[in-house]
Amino acid sequence: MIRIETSPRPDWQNTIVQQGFLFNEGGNYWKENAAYSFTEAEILEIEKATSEIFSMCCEAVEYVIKREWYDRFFIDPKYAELIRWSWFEDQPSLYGRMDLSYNNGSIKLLEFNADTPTSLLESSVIQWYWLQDVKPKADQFNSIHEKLIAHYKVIRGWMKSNRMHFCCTEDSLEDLMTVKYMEDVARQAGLDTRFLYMNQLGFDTQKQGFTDDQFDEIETIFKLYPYEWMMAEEFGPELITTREKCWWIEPAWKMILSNKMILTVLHDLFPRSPYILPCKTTRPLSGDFVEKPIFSREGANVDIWINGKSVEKTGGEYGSEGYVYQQYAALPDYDGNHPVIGSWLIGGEPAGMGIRESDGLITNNASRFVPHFFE
Amino acid sequence: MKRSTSILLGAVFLAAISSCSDQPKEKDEWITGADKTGKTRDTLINDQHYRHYGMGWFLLANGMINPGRYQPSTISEIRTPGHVPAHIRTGGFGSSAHGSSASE
Repeated sequence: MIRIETSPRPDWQNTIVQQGFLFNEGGNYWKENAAYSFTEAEILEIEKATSEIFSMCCEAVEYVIKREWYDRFFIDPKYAELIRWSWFEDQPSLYGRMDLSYNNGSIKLLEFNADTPTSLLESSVIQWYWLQDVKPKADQFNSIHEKLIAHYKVIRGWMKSNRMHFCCTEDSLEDLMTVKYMEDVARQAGLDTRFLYMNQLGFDTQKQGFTDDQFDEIETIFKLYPYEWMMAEEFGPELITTREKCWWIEPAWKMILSNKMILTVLHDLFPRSPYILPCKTTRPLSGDFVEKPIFSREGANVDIWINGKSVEKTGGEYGSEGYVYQQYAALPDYDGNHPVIGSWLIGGEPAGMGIRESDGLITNNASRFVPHFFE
Repeated sequence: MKRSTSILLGAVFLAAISSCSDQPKEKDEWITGADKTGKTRDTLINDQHYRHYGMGWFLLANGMINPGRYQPSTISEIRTPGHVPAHIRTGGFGSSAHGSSASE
């Protein structure tokens, strides 16, 4: 992997807006004055690692469910049966994004964004169009769009009807455009789709089911909204009472994978895996480590300790449930740019990647998305 | 080749780009339900007042209806003794965002 400088396309700002990238954070998030170049062998390594890590993750989920470790994961025990049921019923998952460090050929799992991952549109669409314009003869680890269409067709086989709802909070343009993209792809797969915001979801007390804003009952719904938020809200318990009637994507078992505590279980189960970093619930007395809240989003409340000192720390409102302590894996440094690989899974299969780089050691919501290619 | 051979964006996404908004929702609020001329169509069945609005009949309370909270009933439904219009509770999800993204 090398970082190269590239010439931005003329009028690239308007180009990406026309492709739906409306959340460019004042022009600072999408960057095309640089790109990451890979060899095919490197891409195959990342693909293989993603597949193997996901297999380990599935084993870890089953391990946790069978031992009923919900208290360790700070999951309300009343949701235990819902999680167990969704796992053993094989409730379908659509997508997920693993954040990997890739440094001198070494691949390490930093975390698995298994419930509400974003940076999907830029990974799937925006960097693909960039490739057509800038490096048309090169390849790109990116078949996200096609795999999404194919997997929607698989999921259709499970659904009770052809209708799928899509929802997110009305507070974020990034979330809206991500969900609109997901809905668009579902429509291309032949599904009948409807969109609504989370606060428009209704609950019909007579039919005992979730309804949309046209009073139609919801049977399958894709949400870009975390389970830990849903469980804390008024309708949370209805997830349990309606589990047979209303299927949520992502499924409830993803609560375990999106929880940072899974990193400790992965290390306990697979201590010799080259992809899994040591991770504990107690603060190490020595060594370099990263303190991560059990629940957190976009790099918030992360603290990196090197040689006994906190060298970089982010703020936020997470951490009340506690932390895990993961061995520090340095991201590569390209003149002060630190890239992390977001490796996408669609239907449990590796499907592509997107790269975000940051000035500091922590990748957060101030990071930049940089396209990639391989030759 | 690991890349997609073609990516076409469809009507749903293109519409979102152009408008970035959806149809306004039916708000959870009490309204008269009168038509453009100010007229209403009411009925009294089984000691319960209903007003016709949009696709069906809504419970009438203090001269107002709430299509955002109650589901419309058909005429045969309201003729059924003991009929209780479905009560749709809303707002039970969505309060945790606090103006921020839900993304990981």
